[in-house]
Formats: sequence, C-alpha cells, structure tokens
Amino acid sequence: MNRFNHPILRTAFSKSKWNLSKYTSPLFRPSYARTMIPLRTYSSTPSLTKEIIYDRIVEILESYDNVKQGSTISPAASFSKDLGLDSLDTVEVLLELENEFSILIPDNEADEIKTVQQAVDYIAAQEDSI
Amino acid sequence: MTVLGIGTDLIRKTRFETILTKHNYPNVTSSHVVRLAKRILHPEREYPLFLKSSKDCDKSQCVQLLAGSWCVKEALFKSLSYSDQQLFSFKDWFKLNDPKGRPFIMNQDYFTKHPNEEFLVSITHDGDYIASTVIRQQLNNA
Repeated sequence: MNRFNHPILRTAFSKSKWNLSKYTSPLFRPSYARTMIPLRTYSSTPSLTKEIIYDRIVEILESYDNVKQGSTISPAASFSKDLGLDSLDTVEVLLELENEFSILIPDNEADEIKTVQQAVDYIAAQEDSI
Repeated sequence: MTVLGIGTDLIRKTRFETILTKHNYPNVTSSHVVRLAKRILHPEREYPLFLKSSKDCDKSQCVQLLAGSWCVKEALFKSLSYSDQQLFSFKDWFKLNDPKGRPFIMNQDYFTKHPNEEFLVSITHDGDYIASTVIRQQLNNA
C-alpha cells in the first residue's frame, strides 16, 4: 500500500482545510464566476439630417474647380443649368459624394440626380450613409 | 437607310489627366479612379486593358482609354432616342476596331432590342483633344 492511500491519512485529508473537492460540487459552486466581464459601450454617431447632408454637399461643390464662377449653390440648383457642370463634372461630383458619405450610387439612379436637393434626398434615403 | 439620331462630343484629355493626378493614380491605388473607370469602361472588353495600363504605371494610356471611351459613348448617348437614353449606361457599350482600324461600337442587348439599327462611328484626335461623331441609322428592311 502506498503512503497516499493510507486510510487514516485519507480520512484526515478529507476533513482538512486543504481538501477543496467539496467546493467543486454543484451545490456549493458559485452561480457565476468571479471574473471581470469586459463591458464596452460605443457612442452612436450623430444622426445624419438633411441639413448636415446639404452642408457637406455644399462644401464639396464649393471646392470643385469646375463650378461656374458666380453661381450660387442652393437646394434647387441644377448641376448643369445653374452650376455649369457638364456630364463628366456631374459624374465626378457624384463620385465625390459616394466617397464622402461612404455609399455607392448605381448608374441608373445616378442619372436621376440632377439637382442639389435630389442629391440630398437620395443620400438621406440610404440607410448606410454616414 | 433612315437617319434616326446623331450625336457628337469633344473632350480634352487633360480633364482626365487632372483627375488621375489629383488621386496620384496609377502610382497609388484610388477608389475614386477605379470607380470612375468601372463606370465608363465595359467590364470585360475595356476594363482589363485599363487595369493592365494601371499595373504598368502607364498614365497616358489610362487617360487615353478613359477619354476615348468617354468621348465615343457620350456621342452615342446623344444619338439615342429619349427612352433609350433613360436606360443608357456607359459600361454596357464597348468600342471595337475593324481590321482596317475603323471604329465601331457594340452592345449586344441593344442590337437584340433594335435589330434594324446600326451606328456609324468616327473618332479624331488632335493633341489634347478627342472628338467623336455617331450616327444612328435604320437599316432598310430587305
């Protein structure tokens, strides 16, 4: 018989404070682990209102060189008639808007956007624009 | 033969060069330029050549492809009927040259819908300028 299996020593051990086996029984186990649960919160981005969209579009148009000198940018402004942009300029502006708002505008829908207001409405209608 | 429509376009290559320079293309990748190319160029017939020119860092070839394609497709667009213009997309069309070098423009879906039509295409270059004229005409029914 090896010394670890000695009956007296076994009994003595089982009643001692070094015997932790009773703490693993389901009846005794704490119902939740005493560990730190990482908790993170994320602040949500401010909601994109039409005013914010309009301001950002105006900023892009103001920095675009081919916009006709002296033209005023307003919601009703037409890209071709009021701002003097031709078809290539309009494509460029729409690509800039795609980049600015992190969206993709399909070709057939891009052809429908001819004024600043239409651009604002389109971007506002996209769920994933930021 | 009945002429149904006519369109013309004139473009300065510098305009495309400016766009590429602004985004330092093709030295670095640019989502803007790639999106522009994908919008203008046919995905199977024209875009691969653009990609190859980009990889070779051949800026002038990239500009030539974009400007030439834009010019002829704009002219074509102007020759279409109003209803077909609503359906028009640059990348549905591609330019080919016959063995003698004469250009012509192709869109299989359009010709399926309009089997009696053909397009006569002419393109000219002068330095920085590319001009294109397209005539849409109806073939005689034999």
